[in-house]
Amino acid sequence: MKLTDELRIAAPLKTTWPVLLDVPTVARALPGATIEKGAEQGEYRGRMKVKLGPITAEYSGVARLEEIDDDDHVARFHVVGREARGQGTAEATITIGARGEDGATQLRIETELAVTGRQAQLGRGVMEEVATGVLREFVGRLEGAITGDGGAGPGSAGADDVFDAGAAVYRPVLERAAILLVGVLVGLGLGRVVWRR
Amino acid sequence: MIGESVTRREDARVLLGQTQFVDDLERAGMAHVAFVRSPHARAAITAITGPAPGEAEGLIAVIAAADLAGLVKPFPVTDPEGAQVADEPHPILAADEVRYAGQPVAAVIARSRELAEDAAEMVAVDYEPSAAVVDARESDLTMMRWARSVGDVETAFAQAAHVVSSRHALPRLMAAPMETRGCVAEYDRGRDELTVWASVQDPHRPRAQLAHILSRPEETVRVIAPDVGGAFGSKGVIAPEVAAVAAAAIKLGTPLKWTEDRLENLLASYQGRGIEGDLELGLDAKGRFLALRARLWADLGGYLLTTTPIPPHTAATLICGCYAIPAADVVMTGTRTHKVPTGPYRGAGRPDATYMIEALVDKASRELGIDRIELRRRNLVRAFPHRTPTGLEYDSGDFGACLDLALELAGEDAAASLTAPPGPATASGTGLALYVERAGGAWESATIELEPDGRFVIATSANAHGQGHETTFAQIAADRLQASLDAIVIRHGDSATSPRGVGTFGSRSVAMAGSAILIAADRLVQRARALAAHLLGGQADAIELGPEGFAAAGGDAIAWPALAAAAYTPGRLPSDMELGALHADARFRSASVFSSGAYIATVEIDRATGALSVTRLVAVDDSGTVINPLLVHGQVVGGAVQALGECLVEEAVFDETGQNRSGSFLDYSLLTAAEIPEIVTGEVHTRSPLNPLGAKGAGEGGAVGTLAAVAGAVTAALGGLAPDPPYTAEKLWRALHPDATPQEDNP
Repeated sequence: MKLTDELRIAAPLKTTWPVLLDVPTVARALPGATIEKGAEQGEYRGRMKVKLGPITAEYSGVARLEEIDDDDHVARFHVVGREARGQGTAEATITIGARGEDGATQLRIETELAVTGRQAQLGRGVMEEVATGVLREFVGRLEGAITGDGGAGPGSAGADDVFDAGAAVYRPVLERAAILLVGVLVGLGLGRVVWRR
Repeated sequence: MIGESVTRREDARVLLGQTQFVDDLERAGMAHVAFVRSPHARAAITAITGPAPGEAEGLIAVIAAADLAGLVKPFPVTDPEGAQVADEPHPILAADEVRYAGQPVAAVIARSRELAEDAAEMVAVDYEPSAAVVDARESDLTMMRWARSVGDVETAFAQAAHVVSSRHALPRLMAAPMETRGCVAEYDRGRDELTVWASVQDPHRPRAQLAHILSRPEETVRVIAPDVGGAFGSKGVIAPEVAAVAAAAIKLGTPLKWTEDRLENLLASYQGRGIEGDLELGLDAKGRFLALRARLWADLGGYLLTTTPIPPHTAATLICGCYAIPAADVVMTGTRTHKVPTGPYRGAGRPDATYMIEALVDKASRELGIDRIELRRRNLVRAFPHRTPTGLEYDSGDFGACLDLALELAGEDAAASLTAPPGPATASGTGLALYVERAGGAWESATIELEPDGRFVIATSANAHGQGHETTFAQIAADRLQASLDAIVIRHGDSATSPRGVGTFGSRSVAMAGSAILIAADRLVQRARALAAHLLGGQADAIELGPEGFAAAGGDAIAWPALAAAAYTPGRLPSDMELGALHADARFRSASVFSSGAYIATVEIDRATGALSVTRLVAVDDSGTVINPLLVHGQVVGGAVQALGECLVEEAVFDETGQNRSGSFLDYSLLTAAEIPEIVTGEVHTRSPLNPLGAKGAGEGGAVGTLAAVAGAVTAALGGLAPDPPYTAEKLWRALHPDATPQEDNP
């Protein structure tokens, strides 16, 4: 599953680039993630908790900065985790491309996500929604981390940080329902107009 | 008695909750098993670390492949006639690699299922995943191949006035029985006897599989199949998990129970279909079929289970359908993909072949401008026995009579709507399909014994798992014995007490096991008649068989209980008769018999939404002599409903990494009563010459004919487009609106 996001940060590239290369900062921007201090050979251990309704999936794993291209400002992170209880895994390759533009930074974030086990097998379509929600949250938090707004969103990096994907999923569902509702109302209205003729 | 619609004798105990399924069984000291399953479709296993007993509540043992080394070997694999089968059997537990998501890696044994599941979550398995193969055509490993070319196919195509080609694929399906798989295994060390109660289709095949896997003599393994809550082909091979549980029960000396939950069933139970192909048909100027070329592919999954090669073989051999085709070149290539293995599922290759050949014939009808009924009539097999280029011998049938009856039942409206003009709000169409299916074959056995109270106990090798054997078989015996149904007791399902047999699958029980019962009953009557003649005086052929027993011409009679007593009284027996002679057994064998039928489906597709509704289905089946029309009707309707699910909603979806995305009933839909149309059934009876009943098979016809008929109807409604099932609203909407650009789904 591949997800792409673009984002403009109101800070120059020379400010944002070093922040983007700091694994704990980037990893902490992942909603529901907690990172242990200190790295072993560039690998940071951490946990990530995602809640979807009654199901909570907790992953423990490692994050590392896999590749840096300082000339083109491209950084690739690799995050891999295993369910703390259960056999499922989640693996993400996050490629962040940064470009300076009029004193701001234009970011393109590409995420390759592979999820296995029950989270992949249940609720076809929900996983995409959850991943999209997670990524949307991640981008928002990353922006906050760089601009120093502290905009880490709900449940910012603490031991009990849990990302409630339910909210992220239900929001788009509600949006769609709203569109449908408007459609029905418009349809009824039109129907009434026609009927009155 | 034969031919009467007797209601099922076995229903009361099931409906009143008075029977036991495997999960109801308890044994003293029994522990429970949960499985650690691979989350990856393809990976190397580098380490398995489990909690030790004491580290998890109630934990007794964690058993991985290494713990079963020397105790188990992989599954035995059947190689069908003419097929080459690779040495890629399914292992019991994964050792150093996994080939599908859901593959059992370790068995976790604890005091309860819940504790076993909790402990299973603590087992850490290190995997090195690699890219999964999900497309059968892109696999680098052929696990099964069957090829046959008969007649001068090249010349026939070169001389053909028309060549019509098509490509089709059927998705994988899940059997989804109401009762999931499971077992209780108990090992008696003193007697060196393993007993396995399992939710299986029949006891003897699982026993042979277990004996092979455990390297034990068959008689030290007893398999008992209690009442079974549905199988549909998915319980003909024991689950690898059952073999692991059996081995663990022997190793630990503890009775063990494993009952899978629904998620495990949808993830790890072998699936059906997954067959696709490219077909070419050569026709002469008059529309007569000259030659068929078929390149077929089967998505076999990660390993071969015992019967994995069977459905592709059946599909390949039946690919000529009901048509006399002089030359054919057929290749079936079954390849390894990183998915759960496939195996038989209701129809098991028959719906696949029928769907492909009937769609091809419909396409030929459109391309040649010959009415599809007429085109079929010109090419039907009309003389029997008929040998197909694929090597089958159709024993009997009247395909034209099936077609005629189906058209009559469909009525003139339906016949006219074969070419109905498109409507404004709905696109409607009618589809027609003829099928022929291989049934029966191999052998079965029966024993019969007269009891002191005058009743007859019949043990059959064919085990029922919903088919109603206790009723149908009793009717056959009652007919031969001129006894009432109440006087017949049918026993089955225990390898220790049921005579050796092949099994219940492929619409074969009445033709094979029913014939064995008929022969055994006749043998018993013959012996009883001799005894009665001795006791009553007179010639055996002057003694009449009646409902109570035998009567001589002079009016003297002897009832069954008196005969039973006499049979064990040495002084009353003829000198040449053995003590207790009133029992008999029989083994019946025959070549395959061929059921056939004609199905007509009418569909409507909502132009605005693409939603499909099947509005009417006409089902005509020729299953030879029918023992019980009510039960045959049930089989036809049940099969048709399963096939409607296949048409409308069912599809096991795998993503590009090999993850099964249909892991729950939220993601894998089954039909409800609301989607079932009016089903009109009709019967044609051409006797099979291959068994004394004249019977063929009725268990799969509904599943075989319906899919092809609905597919034809959808194609008619779409003006010739032939998408593959399931016919989801999205798929049909796109077919109706080829120029529409779909809105981007993801924000």
